Amino acid sequence: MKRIISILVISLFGLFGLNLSAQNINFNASGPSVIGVGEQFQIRFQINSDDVSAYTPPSINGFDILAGPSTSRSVSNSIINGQRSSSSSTTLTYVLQANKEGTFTIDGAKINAKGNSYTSNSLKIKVQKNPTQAQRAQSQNRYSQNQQAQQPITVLDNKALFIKAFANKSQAFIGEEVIITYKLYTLVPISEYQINQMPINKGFWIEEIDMSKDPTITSETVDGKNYQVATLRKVIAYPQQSGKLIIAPLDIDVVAHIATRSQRKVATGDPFFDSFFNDPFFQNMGQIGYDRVKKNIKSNSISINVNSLPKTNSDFSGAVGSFNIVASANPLSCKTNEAITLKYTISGNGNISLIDKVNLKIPDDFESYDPTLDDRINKTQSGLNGSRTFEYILIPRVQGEFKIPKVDFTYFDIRTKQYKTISTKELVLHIAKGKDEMSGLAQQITEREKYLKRDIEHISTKNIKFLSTSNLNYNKPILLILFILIPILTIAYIIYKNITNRKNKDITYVKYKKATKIALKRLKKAKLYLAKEEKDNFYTEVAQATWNYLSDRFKIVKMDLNFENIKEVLTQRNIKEDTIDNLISLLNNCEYVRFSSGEELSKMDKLYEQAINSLSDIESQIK
Amino acid sequence: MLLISLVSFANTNNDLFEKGNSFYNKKNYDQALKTYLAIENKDKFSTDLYYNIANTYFRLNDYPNSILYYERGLRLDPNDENLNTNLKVAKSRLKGDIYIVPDFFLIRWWKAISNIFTPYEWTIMSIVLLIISSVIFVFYYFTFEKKIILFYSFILSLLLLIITVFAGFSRQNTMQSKDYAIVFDNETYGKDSPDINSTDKIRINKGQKIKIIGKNNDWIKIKTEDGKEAWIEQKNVVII
Repeated sequence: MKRIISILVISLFGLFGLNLSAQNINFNASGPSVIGVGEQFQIRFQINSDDVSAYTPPSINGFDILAGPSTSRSVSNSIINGQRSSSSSTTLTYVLQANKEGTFTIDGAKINAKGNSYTSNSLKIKVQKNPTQAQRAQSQNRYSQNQQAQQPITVLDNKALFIKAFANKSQAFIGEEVIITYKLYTLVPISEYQINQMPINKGFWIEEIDMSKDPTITSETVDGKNYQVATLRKVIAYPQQSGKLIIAPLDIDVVAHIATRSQRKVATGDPFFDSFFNDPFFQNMGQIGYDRVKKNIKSNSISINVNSLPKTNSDFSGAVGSFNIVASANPLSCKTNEAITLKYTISGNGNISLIDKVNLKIPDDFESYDPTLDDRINKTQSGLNGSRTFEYILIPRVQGEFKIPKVDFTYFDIRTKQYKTISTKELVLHIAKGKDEMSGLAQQITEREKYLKRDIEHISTKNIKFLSTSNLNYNKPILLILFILIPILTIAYIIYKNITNRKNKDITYVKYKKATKIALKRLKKAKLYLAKEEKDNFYTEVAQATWNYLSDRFKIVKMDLNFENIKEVLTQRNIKEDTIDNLISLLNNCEYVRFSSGEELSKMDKLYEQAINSLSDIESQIK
Repeated sequence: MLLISLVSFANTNNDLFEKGNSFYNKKNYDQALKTYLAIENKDKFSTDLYYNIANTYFRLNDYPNSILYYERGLRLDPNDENLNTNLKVAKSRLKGDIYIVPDFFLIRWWKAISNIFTPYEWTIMSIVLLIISSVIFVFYYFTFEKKIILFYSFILSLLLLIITVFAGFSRQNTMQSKDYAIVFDNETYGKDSPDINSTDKIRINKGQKIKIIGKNNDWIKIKTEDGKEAWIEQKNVVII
């Protein structure tokens, strides 16, 4: 809720603000505050509206009116670097002359604009004996920022529009930073500018300062005229040789807006005003329009006296400015064939980008490669500052303690105008015995060096098959189906097999039970003899029962029964061999066992069992 | 009629490829590049195409782009000898040393295994193994002898089946991966957080390979080859 209210309020204010700025009419009087006797000067009454009427001049006492009021009206839409602004104004100008000393007040003038009446401020002017140029220039500077030229400019001459180059020094040493600024001075609105060609400044190393933001516009008075000034370009120039070097002019094209006169007679409806505008003297000051005109202008060239640096014995790096140097090693101890990173960082102000090496002496016991550079350099309005780091990779090949000697760096100090040598500390590295093969970074670097010397293999020229992104997707549905199908089939098969097995088992079981019943029936008599322990009867009965069974079951006449054809018949009937053998041994046993030694009862039991089993097996195996 | 036009369409890509090759051989690398890239623009590619594009960029001394295309080729076929060699040559031309932290050895082994076959081949193998496993299982279930041998055979085939399935997915994943990219900005500093005003954490050089591990609007969280993590703007990289 609060948020909504505040947004409403702000937007209201915003609207208001817009409204106000549209309605914000100011009627302003301006003129010098101090002038000298007999001097000519101008006073102006300016209102920021072109819809004016009923002008009432102030009483001007103590001054002679040499000319005026002259009226100029302007309506302009200007675009300076993308910023649109619209303004309209009406200015009434008087040329006065002071006759006597004293302090005089010119009351405010009155005028109507957009239906309202406005009164300007009054002007207090002190007239003294000696005219002072400087003071006059000062008072003229108090004009508002948006004020257009005193008279609308119709001719684009060198005074209306020019570009000036400045250097912050005219003398420098080789390598010393010189800041060159290019400023555009204009009395007319500018809508665009374009640098045609970057000047070639022979003998200088140039670093361009980033002017990506819109140039700031200030006001400056030159020769009594109030110019709008924009800084277009700023560079840092480093002279590289001695002598008189020239900064070449900058060539730009500018599109400016020139006032054109319309011949139309102006009618405001107010007879008093009309008489001003239609006066032949002011015929040319009608409604004012603007034309776009393209002009090519060049800046001045600047000459810089460049001195060579004084002679020195020390190993001068070429750096001019003010610097620091720091050294570091990481790690400080390691094993052979591992890598150490050495960093030397030079930081400060001056020609950092031109520092190309450090005086580092690496002991022979290390393998090292060309350093890589890491720059953090800012191009500021007062020169280059920042740091440049030289990074070395070392690979120790032998164990021991090694010193990386201190590194001296000599630069020319601009402030003291003397050479200065600074040094890093000495670094001590402890190397222990490591593996014989290289590990980690060391190995990768050595391998990289190997490839650095190689070239690439040649292109492929065979006939190739092209894929598209859809080919990359291998999720074919058929595969998924197979994957699900196969386990299902397997399980189905297992279940099926289980069921049939069980069925078979059941059938077999049932069949076997039946067979056993039959066998028991057949051997009923024998069982009785077994119970009564009538041994002879038992043995005879078992044999008898068996032969009866075989004869009945297999339809063989008893007389034809013997071991051979029994075997044959049984085999024909698909009785298992084991079962047949059991039967034969049963029949034999009936004869022999009665004569063997051993517990009678258990012998008989055993035989009985065997008979049951044998008959059951045969019976159950008959299909 | 349709058949003829299909055939001729397929041929134009190979024609373009040959045209590109002849430009390359005449050392007209700009034209060669244009021709090769025309094929890529049609969403048609192959390891050979990427290889040739990369070689062409190399000849034009554009090492980051060269590395980009070698990596693209390797994404499809990680074991190609020429791609691997040339990538090393191109990388050696870059400035700045990066210590490449190797992956954990198990990961390395797995990657090596899954890269042996294409996803298609892995799938065929897994179906075959599935059939074998099922058969062994059925035998194991129904026989009463040699149970132990059958049991272990079943377990073994099951394991192989799982491996082939995962290897297939793994390889497919690598081929379709969009996680890796090459840095193309000249001066990139990886930041602590996805904000241009955040502190610089690490320096990243042009041509370096990074892995994308997070995203926040226009910023991506990356991991460099030496294991460091930081945030950079997405526009500074091109995905492999």
